[in-house]
Amino acid sequence: MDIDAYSSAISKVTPGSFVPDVAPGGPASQLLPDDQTGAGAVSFKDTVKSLLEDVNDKMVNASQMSQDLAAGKSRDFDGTIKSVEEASLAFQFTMAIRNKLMDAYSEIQQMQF
Amino acid sequence: MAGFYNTIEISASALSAERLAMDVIANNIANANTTRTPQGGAFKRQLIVFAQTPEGPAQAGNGFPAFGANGTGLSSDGTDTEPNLEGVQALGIVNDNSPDRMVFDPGNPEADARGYVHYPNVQVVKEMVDMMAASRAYEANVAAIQETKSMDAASLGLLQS
Amino acid sequence: MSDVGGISFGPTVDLLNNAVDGAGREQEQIANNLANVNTPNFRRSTVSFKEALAASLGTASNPDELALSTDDDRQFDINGAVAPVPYDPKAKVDETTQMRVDRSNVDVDQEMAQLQQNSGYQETMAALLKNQYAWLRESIEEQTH
Repeated sequence: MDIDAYSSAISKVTPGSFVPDVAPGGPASQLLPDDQTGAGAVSFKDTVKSLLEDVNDKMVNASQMSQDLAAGKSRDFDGTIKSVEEASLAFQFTMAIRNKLMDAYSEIQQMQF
Repeated sequence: MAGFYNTIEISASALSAERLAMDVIANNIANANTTRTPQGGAFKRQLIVFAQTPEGPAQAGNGFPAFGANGTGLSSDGTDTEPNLEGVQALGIVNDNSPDRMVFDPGNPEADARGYVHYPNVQVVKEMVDMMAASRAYEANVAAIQETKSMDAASLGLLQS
Repeated sequence: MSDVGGISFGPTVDLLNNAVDGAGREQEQIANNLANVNTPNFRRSTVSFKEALAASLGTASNPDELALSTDDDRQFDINGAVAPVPYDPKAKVDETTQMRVDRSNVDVDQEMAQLQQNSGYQETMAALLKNQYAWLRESIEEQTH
């Protein structure tokens, strides 16, 4: 499991993150740091999306391994436990990111223009 | 379907039965040299008769219940004759009517007309072997109860939030 | 578990519940076998529930789908959620093991090993099932924030 990917994702959550898919050179791109615009940049939305897919894959894999262990198709007790633990941790990380997102969003909502 | 109480009752039935078996064996050993009993004559070895619970229909001949052809209440292809399993029961205690152990000892006041003393038909070594079997079965059933309890605890653990 | 109508929370939860149920039935057989270790003419029996589990694995095409295939008349539909196929493994008499003179065909050592293995299996399945329910519960809690 890539802990760095998760913690860097959490650290990227700021009110300024809510500008997905900004085209380089457009008016909104001036709001973003340089490394978040342009064809090579990865938007926060994509990061979260891939993390969610990763969590889903982990949970599906853990469930599949549990089923195989139950039916006697697999004898990998330790591997099954490990995959379940990983999926649970990934799930909790994702929930933490989601909560930070909600906090950041409500912070924006309270901004007065 | 197994429930909490039924499985443990099955094991408990064995604890009672094996304990009774131990009593019978201990009595045999204690009376291994008893030449006089209230019934007259030497002590007769006793043995305990075990049967699976539930029993099959009684047989006319020796009065003991009989089982199906394969020895249990279940048919061998697993079709639905599932009786309620109840473990084991002691049907009764019977005498071993094999001959007394004769020892030639004409000077003994217990000797019969031909000079033989009638000693019980108890072989202590055989009794010891039977005692070990009973003791082992007892311990195995205690272990079974412990495992059943821990399985039920694991199931109850599902209820925690 | 087998005759309980109701919605399915997914093939994994169903399978794990059936695993726990199967282990409970096997425990009853093992207890009976151990109780009759000294019963003359007794034949031990077992429940081959793992085969029934493996058979039920074949019906779910995608492990993460909530809806199972409805090709069995015994399944019914409640707004897209599908009841699991009845699972009811029965005990079978073991004809293969040797009978000992004046005894049962229960080998107490083998049976004790089965006892430990079965209870270990049941506890593993219960733990995995508890985890599945925890995931479901966390998802629900997160959505009601």
